[in-house]
Amino acid sequence: MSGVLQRKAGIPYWLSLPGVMLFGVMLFTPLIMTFMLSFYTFDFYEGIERAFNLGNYADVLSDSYFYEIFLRTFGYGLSTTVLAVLLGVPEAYILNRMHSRWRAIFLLAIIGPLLISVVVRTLGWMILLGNQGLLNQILIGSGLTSTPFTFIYTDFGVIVALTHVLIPFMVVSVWAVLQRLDPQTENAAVSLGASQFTVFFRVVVPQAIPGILSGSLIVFSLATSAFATPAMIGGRRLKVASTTIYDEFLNTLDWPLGAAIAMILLVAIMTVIMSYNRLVERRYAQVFQ
Amino acid sequence: MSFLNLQEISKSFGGFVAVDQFNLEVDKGEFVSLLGPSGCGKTTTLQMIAGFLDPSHGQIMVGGEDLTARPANQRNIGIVFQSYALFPHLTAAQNVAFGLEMRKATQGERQEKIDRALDLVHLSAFRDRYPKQLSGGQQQRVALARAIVIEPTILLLDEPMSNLDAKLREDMQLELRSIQEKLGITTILVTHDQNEAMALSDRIAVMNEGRIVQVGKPHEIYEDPANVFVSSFLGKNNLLAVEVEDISGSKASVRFNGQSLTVPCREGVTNKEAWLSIRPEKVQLTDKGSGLLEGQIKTRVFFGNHWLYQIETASGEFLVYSQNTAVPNTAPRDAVGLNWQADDARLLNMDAS
Repeated sequence: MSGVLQRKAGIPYWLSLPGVMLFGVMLFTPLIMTFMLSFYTFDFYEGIERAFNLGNYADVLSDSYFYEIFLRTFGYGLSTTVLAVLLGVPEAYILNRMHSRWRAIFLLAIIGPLLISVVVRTLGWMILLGNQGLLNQILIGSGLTSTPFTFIYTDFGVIVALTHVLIPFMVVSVWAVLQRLDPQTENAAVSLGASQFTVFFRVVVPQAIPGILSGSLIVFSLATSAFATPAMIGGRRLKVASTTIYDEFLNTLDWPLGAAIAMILLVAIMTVIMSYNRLVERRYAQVFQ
Repeated sequence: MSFLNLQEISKSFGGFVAVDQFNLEVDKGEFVSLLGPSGCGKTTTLQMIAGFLDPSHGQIMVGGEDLTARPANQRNIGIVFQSYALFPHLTAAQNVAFGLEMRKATQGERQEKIDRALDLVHLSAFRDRYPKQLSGGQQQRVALARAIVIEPTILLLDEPMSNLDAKLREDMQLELRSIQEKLGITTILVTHDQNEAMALSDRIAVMNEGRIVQVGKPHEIYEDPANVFVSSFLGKNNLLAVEVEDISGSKASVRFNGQSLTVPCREGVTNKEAWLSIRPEKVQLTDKGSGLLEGQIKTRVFFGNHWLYQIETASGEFLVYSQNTAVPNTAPRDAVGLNWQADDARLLNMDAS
């Protein structure tokens, strides 16, 4: 009897084995190898040598060039997250209140970008924002300006493109929370004298906090680790962490330095995410548990 | 002049008429229930009073003012929702404070009113709890305090008790009624529970298919239902098919089972065939051969304060309640007689209207 029970108790572990193996092979092994690589040394004549020293980390952390790159990376992450909240939360609210037929169409329009390759989407933005692009042609054609605005290869361009790419994650996670809200709470607020504006900011948004939180975490981590969009719209001048890592690996061939930057990026993103999570969870623990 | 006046209100959604020419006058301080089965238009009516829905036709007058076109957030109407609709991110006291903040009440005034409202619903000790930390009954009290703290002209209650268990519901009904009387606030309750409507209301408006079928004091409607729908919706009744011999004024002479009986009769009974409606508690069991009807006991169920009998008769099944005064000497399959006072029966038309 107890033997049967014991054998049964082991089944969940066996069943989770394929998943564990997949993660082990596909995620943890390369991560650990990158971590080890970050301690190796690199020389232009000797190539990569197995070693254990903190030289790469010292190089990165003592060079203002890298500080600028990390600052830019997190600046993009933060701006994109803020924009995604400002645009995505009202978008999700409107989506939630739509007639179901319209909602299906608009949901497709919002999620649609996720179905297209990020390179294609970014190329689209380059066509729109370029000096000879549609937006500048309209601006010049309407006489608002005589010289084209520079959108491309600017912070503005990168942030706009990143927001467009990542906003579906915000909309979907906020929408998921809004669907679970009691719609009567809005009516209750109205009956107590609140305007639509007050209802949104004092009743809807506070209840949507868990969705805004999870959406922000996804958007922030994807924005800070994005590669294609900053590489194409930011160009060679506006380097971010991931494009720097790429350059170290494929141009300079200094794999250990690239690995060290990658590890620092990973730790930095995780630190930001975990402390943000802790902060908001502590603030709202009583309400949402 | 009545305080709340609903004049010829109709609401249709596409081709479907949810509320049809609804007329109701409510006095200041009165407690009126809209009672009916689901889909009868009672909630639609409530939402029109609240301002969440615009009537297709008709007018809503409160204290002589026309509210029909006024937005919901300027009507000063307190509502307790079926789901309570408390703000989950605010404490009990903050929930109650919301309406006062919208009215830009001063800090001191706000505190005083919150204290008084929470005190009234016996929740002063729970003011800093969030809704999730409160029981269903406590949440409902917060919802009530939130609705009355703004001193609304009208209090609307949308099936407020339906999520409470039976024992708590009875306690809350008594408490709600006493709070309503203390504040003297004009109240409209929407419910499908006839016991709740009878226990709480000064008057009940029974609704069916978007129309008011009958309005009156609870016991009036119960004792003197306008038709078969009202009599079977408000409590149980036994229906006996009878032949109408003669109607003179409010009395009718009817014939059934080879005997004649003179019973009270409402206006409007015209057909030859009609129902005689008798409430189960008005029927007495007698010895075989000495009643108006003969039957055989099918089942006997004990309910504590009364016994329920199902009795098979030639005219269909009869339901009888008898007070639990002594252990009955009857048993299933016994042959018994059924008797009632002629004045306790009511003559009703066979069709529902």
